[in-house]
Amino acid sequence: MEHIDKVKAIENVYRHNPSVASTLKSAIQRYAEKLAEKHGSNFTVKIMNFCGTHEWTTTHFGIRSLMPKNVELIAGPGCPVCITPSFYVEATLKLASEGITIYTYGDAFKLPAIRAVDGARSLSEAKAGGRSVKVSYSFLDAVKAASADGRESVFLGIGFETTVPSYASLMVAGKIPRNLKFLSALRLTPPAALYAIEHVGNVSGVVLPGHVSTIIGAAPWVPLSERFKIPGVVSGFEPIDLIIAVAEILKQLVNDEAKTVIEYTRAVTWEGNKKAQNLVSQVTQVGEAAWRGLGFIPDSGLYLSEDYAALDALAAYGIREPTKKEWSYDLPRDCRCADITLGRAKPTDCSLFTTRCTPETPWGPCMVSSEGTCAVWARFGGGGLAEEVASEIGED
Amino acid sequence: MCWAVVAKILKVNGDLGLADFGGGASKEIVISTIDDPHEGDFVLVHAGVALSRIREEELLESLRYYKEIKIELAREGGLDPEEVRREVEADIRRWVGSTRAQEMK
Repeated sequence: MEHIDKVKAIENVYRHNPSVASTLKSAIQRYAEKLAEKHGSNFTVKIMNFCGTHEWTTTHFGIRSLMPKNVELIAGPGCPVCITPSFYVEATLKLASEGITIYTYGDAFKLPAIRAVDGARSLSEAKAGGRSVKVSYSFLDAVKAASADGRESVFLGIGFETTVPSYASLMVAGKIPRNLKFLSALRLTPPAALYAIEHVGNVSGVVLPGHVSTIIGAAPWVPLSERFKIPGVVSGFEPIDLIIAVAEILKQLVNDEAKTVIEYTRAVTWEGNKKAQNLVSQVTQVGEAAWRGLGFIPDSGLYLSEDYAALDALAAYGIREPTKKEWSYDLPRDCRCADITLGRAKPTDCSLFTTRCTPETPWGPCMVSSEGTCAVWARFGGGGLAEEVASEIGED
Repeated sequence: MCWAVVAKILKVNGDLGLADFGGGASKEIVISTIDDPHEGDFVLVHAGVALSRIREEELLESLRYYKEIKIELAREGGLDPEEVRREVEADIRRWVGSTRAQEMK
């Protein structure tokens, strides 16, 4: 293979491929009919995803409109920005108000806190108010910028397993300048997936996050299939990947199987990226952690380990995280983000959706990130519009 | 925010490397997260960090599920599954314009 464009051309097979999509749609229809024959016409197959990028693909490419009536694709907890507790935003707003430079990913720039600090509810508002807030494409860029300017700085470290190696690699390499501290709001997906399946109920199958799994491997998902007796497919992010994953889940359900399989074989292995896992385990330790609007989930957070405590922004500035007892509900009034994160409600069920809460002026956290379920639905018309169009062309 | 794209490592410089993202875009990324990175490796990049090596031989492997499903449907519909298998493999060869489909067998 001579050039990157060739790899991308082959990947394109998974993006623009009407004949494969059409065959898989027929297969999905056939499997859905068989499941209706088996379980009755009222039986709905609920398939949950755990990645904002999967929700983006599902909605952007209109995959829901290809589904039979008894197959429902629902978004689970797959967006780290959506579940980052308000406390962390408030902590960074306080630090910004004290003259400390805050580095953040663009995704979290507009993330609103439940309480305003120093007149600002988000880092974007703090920047508008003259505070030093810088948006970074990567942790590496922030490390370079902080090293160059020497200013006292904090990086708001959000993310799931996919993002953690970006922090861990530079910490282990000793590249973090003394003037840059790290605020860990890192969260783990398998404990949240388990929590969501328990709380939403009747989940028949799961589309598992491909990029998280490049790091952790597919093996940590097997207990989910075993415990809930449901198929799980580690899927890629092109539309054909996702339609294959849905077809495979339905096929397993028809055949009374409940296996975890890898569809995203070009990037994911069973054991994952051992080197990245090793870096992560050197700098972090697992602990119980809060999820916005949901409260604490056991073993779902990563905190800096003792060896790297000197980098911890909260310790450095004497800020204490709320304990489980001290935690309080941190979503705005009427915001359904917690239910949407758990797949118990659709964005269109929320009275704030595209009224008070829009991608331009997000009110709740699910409307902030480009991969937040509400933001995706607001941009690409998931739910209402897609369902209406599907109905009009007789595909409901 | 778990978006990732494929890039090719152009140059290795310790923990860092220069990566080609296609279309003329290149950027410095962290490569110490994968084993034994080399120039010419294709990697999946998220937030400026290599997550994993893209396995060329697996690029079309996911279509195996599609092939199995199509053959199963053909069998149910009374068609010749071997003929359908040949058709699918010819399709795959046509899509990628290479003999890579041989790896699907």
